[in-house]
Amino acid sequence: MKHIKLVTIIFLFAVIASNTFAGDKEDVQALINATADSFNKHDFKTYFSYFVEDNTEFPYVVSPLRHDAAMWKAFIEGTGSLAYVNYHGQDFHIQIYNSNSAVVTSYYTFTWMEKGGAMNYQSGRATMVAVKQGGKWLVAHMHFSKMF
Amino acid sequence: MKTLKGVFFFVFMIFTLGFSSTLFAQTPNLSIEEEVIALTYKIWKAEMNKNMTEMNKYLADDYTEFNPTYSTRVDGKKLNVTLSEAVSMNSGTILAAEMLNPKVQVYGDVAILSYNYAGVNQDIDGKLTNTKAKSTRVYVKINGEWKLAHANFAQDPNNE
Repeated sequence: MKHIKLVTIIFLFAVIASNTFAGDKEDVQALINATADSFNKHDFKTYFSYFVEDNTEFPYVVSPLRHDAAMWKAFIEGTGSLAYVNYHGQDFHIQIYNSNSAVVTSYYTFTWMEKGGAMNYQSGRATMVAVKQGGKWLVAHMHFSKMF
Repeated sequence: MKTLKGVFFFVFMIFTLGFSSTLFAQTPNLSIEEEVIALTYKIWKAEMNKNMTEMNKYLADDYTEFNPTYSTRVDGKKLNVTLSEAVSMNSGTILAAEMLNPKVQVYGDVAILSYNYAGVNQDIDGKLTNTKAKSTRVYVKINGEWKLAHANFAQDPNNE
């Protein structure tokens, strides 16, 4: 009887723990989707609401320059002059640590068209680090690099 | 009675001061930012000495890596260790490994270190090569120790 109780408690704990873990992954995936959607719609106010204040990025495949939050804001808002943008991520892999930090890796394609211009295309690898602040997952860092 | 109180107070102060000075002496005065930078240099030193056991002991079990050698992500400590140990069989040497423009962002028990890598390698014929990269390392505190959970080592495009 004692053993049955113990097994039941362990089982319940495992179920609760796995549900919590799955919830974090789902929440982080929702953050990923929301950032891409708002960026593609040029909804920059919503887009930046998903970032911590001191975020950093390695934004360019073709440059080693790291951006701080102000530089990233200027860069993203600059894409507002483009006629069309589409960022598409795929094959997301999410690592959760201590229920408050997440490492997301993926591959992406980025397609854009300048007003009256031709289509441009870029693909690469992406790292995103998200942290939980005030119960909300926010982006702290991103790193885009080319497929070598 | 007043004297006894004075003696107790004196003994109490001696214990307090002695205890706190011991604490100060034992606590390394490093910020988390300094700690993760120092750990990265420690890892590089191990790599330069081809001490792969030391180098790889700081990897989390589910460590993932993007690097310039393989197009897609290398998953897990085991696979990364296998590949890094094979690379260490190379007779070349890393003469210098430095980080330029480092920045550490700390959020509780996660620390993000981003920097531009500057290195000098020497091959078996003595030829020197400069290596440039842009790198992100994500350290996470697991069981009280900083472990490397992910790294994105991307070649500086100007290298090409």
